Order: sequence, then C-alpha cells, then structure tokens
Amino acid sequence: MQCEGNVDGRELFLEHYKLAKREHRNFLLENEAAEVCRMYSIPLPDGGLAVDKASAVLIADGVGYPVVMKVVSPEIIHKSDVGGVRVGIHSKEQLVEAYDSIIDSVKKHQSTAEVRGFVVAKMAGKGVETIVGLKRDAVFGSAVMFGIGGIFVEVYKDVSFRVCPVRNGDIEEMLGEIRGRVLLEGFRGMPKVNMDALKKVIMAVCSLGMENPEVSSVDLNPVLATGEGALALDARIILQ
Amino acid sequence: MNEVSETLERIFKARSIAVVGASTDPTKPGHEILKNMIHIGYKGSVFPINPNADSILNFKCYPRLLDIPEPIDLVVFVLPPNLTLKIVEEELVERKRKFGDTAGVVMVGGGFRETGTREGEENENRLKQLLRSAGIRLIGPNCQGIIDTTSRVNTTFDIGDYKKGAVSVITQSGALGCSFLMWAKFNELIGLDRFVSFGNMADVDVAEVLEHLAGVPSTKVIWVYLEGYADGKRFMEVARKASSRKLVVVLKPGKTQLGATAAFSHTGAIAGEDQIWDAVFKQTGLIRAYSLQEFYDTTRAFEKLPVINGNRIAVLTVCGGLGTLCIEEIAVSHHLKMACFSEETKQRLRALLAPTASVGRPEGYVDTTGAVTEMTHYDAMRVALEDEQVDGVIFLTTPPAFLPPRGWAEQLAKAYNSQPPIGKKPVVAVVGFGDSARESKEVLEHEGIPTFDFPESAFRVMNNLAKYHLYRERFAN
Repeated sequence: MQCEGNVDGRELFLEHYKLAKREHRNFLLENEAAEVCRMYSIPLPDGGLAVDKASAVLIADGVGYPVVMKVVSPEIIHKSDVGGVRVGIHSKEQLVEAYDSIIDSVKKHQSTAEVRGFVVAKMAGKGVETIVGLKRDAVFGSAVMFGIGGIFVEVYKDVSFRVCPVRNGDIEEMLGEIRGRVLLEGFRGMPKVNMDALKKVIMAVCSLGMENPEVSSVDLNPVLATGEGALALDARIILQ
Repeated sequence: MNEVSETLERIFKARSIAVVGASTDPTKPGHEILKNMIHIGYKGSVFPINPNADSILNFKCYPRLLDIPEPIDLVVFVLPPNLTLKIVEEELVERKRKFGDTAGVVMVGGGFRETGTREGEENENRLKQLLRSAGIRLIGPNCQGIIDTTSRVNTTFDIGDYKKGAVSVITQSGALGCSFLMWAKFNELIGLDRFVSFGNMADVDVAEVLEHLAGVPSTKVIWVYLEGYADGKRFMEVARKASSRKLVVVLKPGKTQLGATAAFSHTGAIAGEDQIWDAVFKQTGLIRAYSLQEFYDTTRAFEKLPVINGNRIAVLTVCGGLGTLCIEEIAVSHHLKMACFSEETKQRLRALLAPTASVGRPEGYVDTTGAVTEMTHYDAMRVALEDEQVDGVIFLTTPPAFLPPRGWAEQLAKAYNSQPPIGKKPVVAVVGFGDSARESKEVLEHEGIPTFDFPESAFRVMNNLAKYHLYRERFAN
C-alpha cells in the first residue's frame, strides 16, 4: 500500500458521501458501494447499474447469463426484506419478468420508495460464503472482521476481529481462529479456497476503513471464497 | 527513564509519608493504614496528621501538613471530599509551593465521581485541577493506593505484610486486587513486587503504570484488572511494549455487552466492545483470562514457571481418568498439541515403569498407573523432560496412599529442577485430592511446580504459556 493511501478511492468515496449526506442517507447505494470497493481492488462480479429495462438487458448480455438483479433505492437498505433481489436469472425473458416483479414487490412493501435502478451482475458459482466487515470503534478506531458469512452470520457469530492496521500475521490468525476454518481447507471434496485472495480482501477493507473516517461500518456479505479467488457479492457501506 | 516514570518511582520509593486523616480509632481505615505500614516494615518517616492527638501507634502527630519539618515524598488522604479539598488547597498546594517536596498523593477517600452525582464530579475536577497546577500526581481517589515490597511503602488498609516476589498488580478495583493478594497469601502462592489500585483513575492511569512497570526489573508478571481505557491507540502502544518485556495477564469484564442494537450492518450488530478488546489483547500480546479463576491461576503459575519454547505437551499421569480429561482439553485446544515421544523415550519409559503402564498411547501420553514408587516419579519425569520433542509436561496424580506425601513430590520436583536453567521446560501438576494432599502440594509449590485441583486449570495455564510463546515469536519477527 502506498504511503499516501488510495487517493482515487478516497476521492470517489467523498463524492458519494457528499451526495448521500445531501439526501440524508446514512449509507451508500449498492452501485456506489461497489464502485468504492472496486477502487480498493476488492473483486466484485461483473455488472453495472441499469436505469431501465433496455439497459438491464444490455448489461446482462454483456456479462452473460445467469445474472442477479438488485434494486437500488435511497430508501431501501435491506433489499431482500422488500423482495428487492432476484438471483438465478437465465434469460432475457426472465430478466424482464424479474424487473417488473421486483418493482411490484418493492411498491407493495414500501410504496413511497424511489427506485433509482437495478444493479445487474453476473451470478457467481459455488463457493464458501464468508463475510468481511469493518466497524469503527469509539476507542480503537477501525476494526476489521472476518468469518463465515451468509444470512445466518448473526446467529452463529463465527467471526474474528482485529484492530486496523493489520499485519499479515494478524490475518493468518484471523483465518485460523474461526470454527469454520475447515470449510476453507477443502471440506468434503470442496476445493481448498484461495487464502491469498481472502487476505487481500481483508487488507483492502482495512484500508478502506482507515482512509475514510466517515465510514461507520462495512459489510461484504457474502464474500464468495473459491479455489480461484474471492468475490464480494454484496457490498454495504454505512456512514457515520 | 521519562518524567512520568521518575515521578512514579519517587512515589513508589517514598522516603517519607504523611497521612492526612490518621485516626486513633482502630476500626477506621485512617488507623489501619498506619498499622499496615508498620506490619510491612516501612523504614521511612511517617507523619500522621491529626490536630486532636499527640501520637498514633507511636508516630508523633502533626496538626497540619505545613507543620511537618522534614521533606515529604507522598501524602495519603483518608478524609471525606470536602475536608480533602480544603486541606489540598490550603495546606498541600501551599507546602508544595514553599518546599517543592511532594511528588504525589494517594486519595483513599471516596465521595467523588464514583457517586454519580454532579457534586461528586465537580469535586473530582476541582481536585484534579488543584493538584495538576501544583505539579503533584494523583493516585485515586477512592482507592487502596500502592504497595512496593522493596521500599516497603504501603498505603492500603487491607494488606499488611506480604512476601516479596515478581508479581505486580494493577487494578481498577481495589477490593479485587486485594482479594487476589489475600487468596494467594495462604500457602504463599505468589510473591508481590508492586501493587497499584487507581479507584476513579482521575490522574495516574493504567497505561502510565503499565508502561512504568514494564521497565521495572524486579517485576516478571503483571496482573491487570481492567475496566476500560479511553485512548485506544495509546493503550495498544503501551501494551505492546509491556508484553514484549513482561508476562501481562489481564481480566476485562464486558462479555455480555452487545453490539449496537440499532446496527445497520451485520458487522455492527456482531461487533460488541468486548470483541474489539479481545482483538486488542491478541494483537498486543496480553494474555487474557476469561474467568477470575483462570486469572489467578495463570498469574501465580507464570511467576513460578519458565517460559515455554513450543507447544508440544507430554501428559504424565498416575490416574487414568485425570489423564484422559487432560488430553481431551489438549485435543480441542487451538494452541497446544500432544508431544510425539522419540522411540528412545518410549523404550526408556517402558523399561522403568511397571508392565501395566501405558506409554505413547496416544502420542505424548504416559499412564504410569498406581504401580509407582517415589523413584519412578523422578525417573519418568526426567525422561519425559529430556525428550527434545517435548516442550512442557502436565503431571496428574491422585497420590497412592502407600506413598508418603512428601517423598514422591520431592522426587518429581528434583527431576524438574535438575534441568539445565537455560531452556528449562515448564511443569504443572494436578493433585487430584485437593486439600487432603496439602503436604505434597506444599512441596511442589515450594520447589517451583504450580499445583492445581483440576486438569482444566492446569491445561489453561499451559495453554496461556503457549500463547505467550506465540506472541513472543511474533514480536521477535
């Protein structure tokens, strides 16, 4: 990591941050969070922001099916709670159908929500669902979290923390500390996951947190860990 | 030595102490403090301040601080807040201005911020401000103060004389710190180097004292009861420094604190204050105890034992059940593993033990069975310690009734202490009969082998030693 930090990442973050504050939002939109993550070299699935059906189809054609689609709205933070997420879209027809049905569902749950568009992204394959997160602590500043991810993360709490900045050895220890580490080592015929890729994501989240004091917390959940690499399928950045 | 350390050292090594609020009434702390100074054998000058008495416990009383004709290094206050403030303002500050002699005060008396009232807080702020502008450091208020077993300075009202040793105590709860000392006093489980209780920690704080004690050669182990600290970066910096030079064992309550309830993220919801502190302890190399028992046991064992140079443990047991329970702990441990004996070790053990004994099943495990003599205790321990693939030994026994209580323990200790001092491997002992085997335990403790009632306790101590080894390796890189 260069001494002056990630200047472009910081600049882009501030741009989104200012907009969010103007709109009285305490989080970045999905596409904004994704852009910031990319600036910090966190790998995300190929995709983009679609503002209408035609651009959704274009993006899907570009990245190739199957794709996932997620609603982007300044009023919606928990997207799946309002039926704002659809996975496993295999064709143009399914995409168009999903587009309409997500809009219907969002309207039903939260009629006043403004829909800015949809993130359309390449659907990832199989792997181990991990979580990489960050929390700003009042006493110690940024603390990074790694663990087994997915929707039950708050139930099992199989996670490990370190205060930033972290050394390579700290990350090694984090990976070794969780109960689910066997899942990373090639459990029941699954491939051994690419640990270096995971480590890079943890390191990157640390930098993101330390260089942007306006960030209150970060969730990359899940970060899909595979034999090849690590892919952040969902990025949430909460602001102070 | 920096300025803070110099001042703290003047307080620990005070050659003269004034006690404001000294009492003729033996039921008052203001009396007990003077008594404890006598008990511990303080050789400096003691000046009780009491306008209504000529002398207390043969110390000549003075009506006011300003009347003491000699230099004073340390002033102890045992008074209610209003009187304390009055005397600080009218006498102590004046004295410091005139003679420049007082390095610090210990405020034993309470009635300040801990009351949770506005008045209490205002009084504490006033106290801080008066002392700061006078250039006098404050320990307390609402605390037991300090003990130094070399200078024999003692401001506590709970602890009298104490065996000198290598454990220093830093505590944000005076009563808990004293309870540890009283618990360990029986059977002389620890020796004390220094003791600091902060109470409200209005001035001198945990980080300052931790940093200072890290540079004190007579301290080997630092026992820290920590409730919190506001400056995280400073704490981490000091903690790293301290753990690279001392074994620092810490207990920090707060396990039940939850993350922010209204968290917008998973991470925010999971990340309670305690998880962050836990990470801090790991990153800075402090050994965190997760229960009071582990806290006490780890500290007392660390004082006696050499550090471990690996994580391969041999389990030597006279009792199959205890041995099994112990290797189960090791099996699920993150830090320890069972040692792998060399073929030579196995052969030597088989040759010296009864045919009923079990050697190396599983690896690193020896069950001598009850068919032991005093000598086999010596031989088996010696052979296990001599194996290069063993880093430490846990010994467990329910001492056979046919063996005299001292003999086997002496033989075991002899094997332990016949190791060369450099690279000496740690041994801990579980004597399963509790206090009914007191004589055996006394021998072992006296010879430097910590004893425990339960295999879990012995395991945790070894596990913590291995953690410390890991931290040291990390700092070396």
